[in-house]
Amino acid sequence: MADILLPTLIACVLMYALIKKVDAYASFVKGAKESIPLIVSLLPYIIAMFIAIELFRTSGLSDVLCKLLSPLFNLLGIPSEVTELTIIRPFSSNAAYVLLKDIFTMYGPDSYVGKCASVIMGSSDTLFYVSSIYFAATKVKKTLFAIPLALFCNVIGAFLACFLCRFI
Amino acid sequence: MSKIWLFMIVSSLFVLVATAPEQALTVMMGASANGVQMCIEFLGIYAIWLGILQVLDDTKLSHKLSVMLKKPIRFIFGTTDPETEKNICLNVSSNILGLGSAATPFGIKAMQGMDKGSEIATKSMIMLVLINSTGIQVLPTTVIGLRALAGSVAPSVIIWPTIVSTFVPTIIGIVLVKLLYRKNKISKVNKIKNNQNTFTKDSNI
Repeated sequence: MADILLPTLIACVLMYALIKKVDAYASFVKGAKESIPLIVSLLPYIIAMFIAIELFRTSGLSDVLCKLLSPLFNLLGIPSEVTELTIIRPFSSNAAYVLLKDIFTMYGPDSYVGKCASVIMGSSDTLFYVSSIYFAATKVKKTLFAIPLALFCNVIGAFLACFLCRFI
Repeated sequence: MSKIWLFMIVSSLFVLVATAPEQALTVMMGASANGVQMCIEFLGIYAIWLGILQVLDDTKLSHKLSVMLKKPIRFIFGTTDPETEKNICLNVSSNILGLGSAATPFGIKAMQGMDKGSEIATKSMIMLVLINSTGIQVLPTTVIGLRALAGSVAPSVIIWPTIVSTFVPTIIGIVLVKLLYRKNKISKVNKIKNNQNTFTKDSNI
């Protein structure tokens, strides 16, 4: 779907520019130039986040956190097998994909756990990465309740995912 | 954010020093290098999307899009300027289509548009971060692909639970932001004022 959609959209936009007699090449270059200062300003924040996440995982603290939260998640009907995925998901997309593949090989994609993991993966995003770079682009220092609230919504999402997967 | 970061780094470093001190620096440098590598990849992706965005702008297509979606966006984010509304439009629509990499540059531009130089996050900023982190998505293409690769007999069976469990938390989140924001901000502002007062008193002495 996305494979067809995107190139078609881009082609249509460029065709439209041709019809409207807009110099698409000049516009594209002008816009693309903006990506350089943008990425330069984000680089330090991304590095800071990467270091924290890697240290947290290598030190084994993320496992400890998973073990601590596991009973709580079980109460919500989230099986222990996907607890780690639910916790890693807000931190790192890549790490979460690795976990998802592990779950598929271990339990199979059509098992209950496999379905839960798929839905959790598809229904949430890398919260810490998103919030750090989004706020990095502004002068904001106090993010108020943004992160706790987003985490709360992710847990609701995981709960719903595991609940709905009972019916498919 | 800074508290979470500090906690993660300090606690992890303590554990690593106790268990495997030789790993600590290697991990940090590896992670930093990965971050740089990711930024270079993102530079390429952002360049494409910001380039296309400029074409959209210059042909006034983006203007038409934001006029179309103005009402729901005004309702959720409160009134903002047309430029920011357009970026929010593009951010949300690329999220819905499952184009995460395209959503980020638009989201960042929208955040910059909302930035009035205040140190405290505005309601619309929190709203945008929330919507992006609950990851509203209609077609979880990557997950479906992975399921198919893993030999699933019904890779796309997860579509409707995914849609429900992404939209319901998003709506709950939007309602909560609207409810929580006013209260929370006033208490924060008061706190900052109090701090400043004590600071000026101290400096008088």
